[in-house]
Amino acid sequence: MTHLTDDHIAAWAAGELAPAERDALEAHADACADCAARLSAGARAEEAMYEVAAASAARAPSGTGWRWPLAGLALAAAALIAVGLSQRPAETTESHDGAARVDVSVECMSAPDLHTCEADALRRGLMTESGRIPRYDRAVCVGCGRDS
Amino acid sequence: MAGSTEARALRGDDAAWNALVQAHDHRVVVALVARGARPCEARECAQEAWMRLVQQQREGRLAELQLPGLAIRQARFIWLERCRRAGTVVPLDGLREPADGAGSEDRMLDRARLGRTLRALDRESDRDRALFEAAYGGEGPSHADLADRFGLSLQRTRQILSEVRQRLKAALGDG
Repeated sequence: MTHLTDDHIAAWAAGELAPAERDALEAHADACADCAARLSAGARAEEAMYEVAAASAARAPSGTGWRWPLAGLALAAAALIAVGLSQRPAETTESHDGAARVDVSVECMSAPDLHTCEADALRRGLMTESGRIPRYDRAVCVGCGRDS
Repeated sequence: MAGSTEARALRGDDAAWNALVQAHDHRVVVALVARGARPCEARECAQEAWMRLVQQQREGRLAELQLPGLAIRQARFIWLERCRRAGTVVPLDGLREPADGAGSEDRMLDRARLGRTLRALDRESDRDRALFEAAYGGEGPSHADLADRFGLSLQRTRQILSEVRQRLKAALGDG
């Protein structure tokens, strides 16, 4: 077998080679110190991918469109809290500039379902888009008063 | 799926063990090669690790089975023992603690490189990032499983993963 190419190494590390190809590649690396070193580097880079994926998945506030369910859960929790507060009038507080701030959880009370609640939160600026990241951010509501 | 396979393996199901070995053996080998083992050593150590795990299960000494992590740790222990007995110097590259000391001994990336690579990952599309996280997270699903889950062809799945990997590895500085 000729010396290993980067493509060979990447495919081996990702487990994409057929068994015969994989065996031939490993046999070559066992006998060729240069290729063994390159294979080891390729393996380290591949292992690093697992760390990157784990770190990415663990970034709580940094989400993607795929983390919308988390935002939905947050809203669902808010809605549950709201149910618990259902006998109370909508809570408002004063922000620094005197604008009314509406308590999010109470506002979710009026939504018939989670989807409507989300849509309403987005419209009111309570659910913000930070880049591609949907984020539930009550602070945005301070003084927003867009239509509330 | 993997969870139920692991549960069956814990009950002594040979077919389940075979499936787990098939699913995770290469990852174990790659993990050892990453730490400086030659491929032939890595294959031997991986095989011995699996045998020990099966043995432990049969003796009732295996309460839980988290793979591939458990097999990697077992195989690495076996390899280090071999190195020690043979008086071989263990290459430091794969064993060094990360520079910030924040992680376990298994970590490959220091904080700076991890941050750089995460930023590169953030530049990927939502779908490609999710595909990458699914491929490299948790139970290590097959490409066929991923293709099903994401509604892609197998070839397209592999192509996307290959391209994302290439960009992330470039961000790592490892080629």
